[in-house]
Amino acid sequence: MGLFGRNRQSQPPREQDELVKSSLQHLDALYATALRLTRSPADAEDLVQDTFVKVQRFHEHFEPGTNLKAWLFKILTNTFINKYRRQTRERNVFDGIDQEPIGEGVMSADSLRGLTEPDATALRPIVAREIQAALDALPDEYRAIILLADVEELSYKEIAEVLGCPIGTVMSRLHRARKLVQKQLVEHARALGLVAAGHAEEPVDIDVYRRRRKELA
Amino acid sequence: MKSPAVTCHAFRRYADALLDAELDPGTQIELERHLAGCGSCQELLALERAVKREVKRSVSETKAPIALRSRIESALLQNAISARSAPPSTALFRVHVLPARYAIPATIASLAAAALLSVMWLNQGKASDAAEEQASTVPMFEDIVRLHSGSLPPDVTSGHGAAVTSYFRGKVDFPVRPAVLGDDAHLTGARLSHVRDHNAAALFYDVGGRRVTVVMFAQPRPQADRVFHGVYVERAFGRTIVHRRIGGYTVSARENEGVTYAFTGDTDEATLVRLTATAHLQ
Repeated sequence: MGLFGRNRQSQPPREQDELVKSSLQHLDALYATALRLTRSPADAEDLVQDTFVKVQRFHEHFEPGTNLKAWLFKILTNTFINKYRRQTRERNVFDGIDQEPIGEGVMSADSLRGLTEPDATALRPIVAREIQAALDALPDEYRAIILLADVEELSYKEIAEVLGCPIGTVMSRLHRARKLVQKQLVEHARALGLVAAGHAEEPVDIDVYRRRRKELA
Repeated sequence: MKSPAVTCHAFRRYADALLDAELDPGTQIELERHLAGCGSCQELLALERAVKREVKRSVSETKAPIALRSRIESALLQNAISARSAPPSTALFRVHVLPARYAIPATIASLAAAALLSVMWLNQGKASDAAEEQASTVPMFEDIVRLHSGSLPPDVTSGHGAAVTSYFRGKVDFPVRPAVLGDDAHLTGARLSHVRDHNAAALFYDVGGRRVTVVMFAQPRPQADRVFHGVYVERAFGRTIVHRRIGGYTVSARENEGVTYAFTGDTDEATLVRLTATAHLQ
C-alpha cells in the first residue's frame, strides 16, 4: 500500500545502454528540431549532444512504456530554453513581448486561400519556404512553443511542464506565436505577389514572384 | 461556453486550441457550429492547419549529419567514464518513480471521500463550502507532487546553494535560498516551474538515498489561509506545519517570510514532517 521509493543498486549498464540506443533512433528528428530551434547547424549539434548526455545521466527519470520520443523532445527543448534563459539576466523578458498588441485583424477568405491551396504545384515549395522564414523570424521562445505544439504535438499540459509556466501562459503564448507567423506570412506573401489582396481571380504569376523576391532580397 | 452564437472574434481566439484538440467537447461543438457557417473562419483554420502541417513536414525531412552519431557516442562514453569515477552521490540510487496516475487521484470526489475521514478543517466553514475548498486546494498539491514525480531532468544540476540561487535570480519573484535539510541530505539540482499560477522553484534533494523535493513559491498574503484548507495542522519541533496526503504521497508545507516551502518525497510521512519542521530556512 505504501508507495514509497525504494533504495536499490544503480541500474545495470545494459538498461542504460538500451535507452541510449532507442533514443539514437530519433537522432534525425531531434537534430531537425534542434536546427529549427537554434538556426545554426553547429549549435544544433551541441544541443543534441547535450540532450543525449542528459538522457544518459538521467535515464532513471524515464518511465519505461511511456512515450520516449516525447520525453526526448521535452529534454531537448527544455535544455534549449534554459540555455537561453541563462544568457538573459532580465526578469520576465518575454512578458514584454507577450503584452504587445498584435491585433486580430480579419484576413479576407480570398487572400488566405492563395496560401492554403496554392494554385500551381510550383508554388508549394515557395509557400513552404515563406512559412519557414516566418518561423525563423520569431523570438526563440515563441519558435520553441510552436515546434513543441506542431512537431511533437505535446499537450498544453506537457508544454507547460517543459517551459515551466502555467497552462494559461502556454495558450496565450502559442496563440501569439501563431498569429505572428500568420501576419508575417500574409504580408510577405502579398508583397511577393503570392496572394492578391481581395482579387482571388487573378492568377499568380511565378515570374512576377521571382522578380519581386529578388528585389526584396 | 454558454453564450449564444460564437462570433468570429471569439472563434479566432480559440482557433488554436481547436486545431490542437485541446478544447472541452462543449466548447468544441460551439466553435464547429460557427465554423460550419463562416467562410472567413474556415479559411483561417485552413491557414493554421497548413502552417502546422508545413512546420511538421519540414522537420521530418531534415537528416542529421553523418558524423553526429559517432560524435555523440564518444561524448557519452566520455561522460560515462567520468561519472563512474565521481564520488557516489546521485549515481547510486535507483528511484522508483511513480506513474502520475497513481500519484494523482482520478476524481476530486474520491479524494474528498478519503480525506474527510482524516481531515481537520482549518476554518469551521459550512459543509457546502467544503467541496469548493477541497477543489481549490487539491490542484495546488497535485502540482507539487507532479514536480516530484515528473520525468524531466533538472534545469540546473548542482549541490551548491549559490549556483541554484543564482539560477533562479530574475526568474521567480522571491530570493531562492535553498533550505538545508540536515546532515544526511544534500541538494542535487533544481527546476523552474509553477504551482497553479505562481512561479515556483523546485529544489531536489537526496536524503539518505531517497529523493525529496522542496517546492518554493510566494503567495499574496490574503490567499495564504485559503490555500491550506483540508489539511492536518501540526505543531512539531516548535513550528507550525500543514500536511495532507494526496495519492501515495504526503505533502507538507511551512511558511517563512512570505515564501511557502512545500515538501514531498519518497520517504515515510513521519520523516517528511520531521524534515519540514527541522529544515533550516534562510
